[in-house]
Amino acid sequence: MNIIETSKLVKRYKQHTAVDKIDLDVREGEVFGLLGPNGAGKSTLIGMLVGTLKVTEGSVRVLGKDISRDSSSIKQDIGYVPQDLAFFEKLSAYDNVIYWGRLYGLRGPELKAAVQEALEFTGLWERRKDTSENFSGGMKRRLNIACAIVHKPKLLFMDEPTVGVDPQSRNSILESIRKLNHNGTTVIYTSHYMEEVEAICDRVGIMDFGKLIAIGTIDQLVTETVKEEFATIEINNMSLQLAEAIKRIPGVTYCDRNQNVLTIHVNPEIMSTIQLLEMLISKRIDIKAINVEKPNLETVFLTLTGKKLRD
Amino acid sequence: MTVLLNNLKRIFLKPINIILMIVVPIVLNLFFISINNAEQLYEIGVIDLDQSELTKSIVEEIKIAANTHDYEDDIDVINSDLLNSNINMAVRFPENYAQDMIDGKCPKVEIFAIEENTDSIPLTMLIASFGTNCGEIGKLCDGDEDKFYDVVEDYLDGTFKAEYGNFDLSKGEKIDRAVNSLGYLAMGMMFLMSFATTLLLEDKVTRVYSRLLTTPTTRASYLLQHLLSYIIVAAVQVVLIISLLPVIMDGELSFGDSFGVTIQVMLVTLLFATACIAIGLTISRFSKNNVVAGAFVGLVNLPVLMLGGCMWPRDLMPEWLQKVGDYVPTTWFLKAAEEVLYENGMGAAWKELALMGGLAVILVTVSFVVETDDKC
Repeated sequence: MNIIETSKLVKRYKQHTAVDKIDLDVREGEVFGLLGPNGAGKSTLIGMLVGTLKVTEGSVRVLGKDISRDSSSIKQDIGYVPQDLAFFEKLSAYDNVIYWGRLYGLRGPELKAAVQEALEFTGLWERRKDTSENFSGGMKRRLNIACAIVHKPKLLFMDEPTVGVDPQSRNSILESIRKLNHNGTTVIYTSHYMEEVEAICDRVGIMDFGKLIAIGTIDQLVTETVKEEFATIEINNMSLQLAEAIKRIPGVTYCDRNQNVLTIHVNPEIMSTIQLLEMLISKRIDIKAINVEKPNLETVFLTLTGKKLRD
Repeated sequence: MTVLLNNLKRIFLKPINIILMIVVPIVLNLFFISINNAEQLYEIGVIDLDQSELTKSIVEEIKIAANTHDYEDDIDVINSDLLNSNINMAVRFPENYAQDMIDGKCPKVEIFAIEENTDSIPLTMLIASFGTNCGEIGKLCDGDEDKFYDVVEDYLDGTFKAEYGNFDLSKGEKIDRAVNSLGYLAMGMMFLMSFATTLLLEDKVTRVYSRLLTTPTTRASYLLQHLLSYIIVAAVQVVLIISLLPVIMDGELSFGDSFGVTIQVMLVTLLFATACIAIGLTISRFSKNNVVAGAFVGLVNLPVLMLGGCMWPRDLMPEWLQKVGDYVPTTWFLKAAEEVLYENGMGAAWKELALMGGLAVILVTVSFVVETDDKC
């Protein structure tokens, strides 16, 4: 079952189209990664999915309901972890989570139990009485998450929840996302960190210029998008003539020389990287080092958008 | 009510807010009223050419409300001291003043004062009235000096003292003082409310507001709870200040002679506070950050306070400025407060109350309805 379905979704600000005819399906129970460079339209898309931005054209169904008609009941079942630390720094962690719990209608013992659970889940129960302004960056991020999961949402939107945290806290946050997902929460996750997305996401959608330019599992995206193999080869006694000769080998689509290092793209349908290396060795070319790069999400992103994710 | 309760917690957790709410208005009132008190001590020159028992009695009575200074019969010195503001006025009792009174002749007392200065009017009227009455007593006593002084003594112990008491702190003056005091309160209230409503701005800047809109809480509910929380804060402030100030001022200040009038003053002040909140809410709603809001607060509040007569009497301003001042909420507030303090009831101030209420409704509606670029 799809927990999110959008059809020809458009968001326009005067002349600027921030989201352009997006058809997106997110399945219940998955961790869906949404990738895109700054200004790609991710936040606008999420704004429409969580009901804070009005849709210009198209339709959005979340949890099987139309967001324009059933916004209130949809909001009861979604959680939102914004990129900013959106809580009250002068209040204690406990008071903050209580506040957000109340906004979702929790009261009395049910609220207290939910707050304890959220704070224990994020490892903040022992520090619950401390004002959050005294927390470390990682703890603040975890409190940001606790505020969003106190009401046990079925669908959780996480907008770059690990920005500016140390690796240890990042691992802890990623682990908690896995646990949430394991407990049945569907997660929409946006991040600039490709390795995070690769580590936790079942499927990924890539956005650029307001459009969804690719969607699928990471393996699917790599297979379908990246048609070439990548290698860097360090050669002793490198010459311009040698680099030109390699560039002319059938199957080599790209060859760039930087002193003794060649960056090579090979079309595997014509020649694999291994075959190319065998050929170079047979020609007695003095190879000092070889690095064959496995295509990954970064490669996919680069291929599709022509830029790195953190550009 | 989650937003409302949380707002109250945020406001009362900050000691600076308590200071702004309660301490500053009280200190301001004490300061300004003590200045006013100091100014109200009249300096009166006395030229007593008669040196009779009667004139000495009158001078003793004048001393209750003013500092007196004895002068020789030298008009140049009197004029010089009047021009240099060393004295507010001077009184000249002619020779045989008492005897002429006893003879029923109604002798005149000369008053020296600067023509444009209104300080001398109450005392001039009082002495004129006293002279007329003594003249009448003189006629009735038919030249009997002992009888005259007996009756005058009774008169001084009774009516004259009562009139003098009135001169010291008349009802009008008491009300003026209370209105002035409310003006200082308005000053504190406008700034407090403008800054208190920046909680809304804080929520926008920290993105709490946009996150909150992903919860089942609607924007209207959120803004309404903000509004209510500020009204509660204002109510606490109004009740505390209006109850505490007269006690602290030890009778020097009163917001009405009866409980009913005091309650009406509180209600009028609360309505004014609501208008202030609406102004603050509107500023916060349409400002991107605290810097912009702070600039707007200054731009709006200062002229409104100045034109409304919170910093100085409106009568001191040119007529055209007073006309401009007719359109600011501080003027409406002080006019309405004056009406209820004069025990004319809130009905007499319906126009001013309607204007304050109307302004609040319009601004709150604009804040609720108009969408901004950030969709907040």
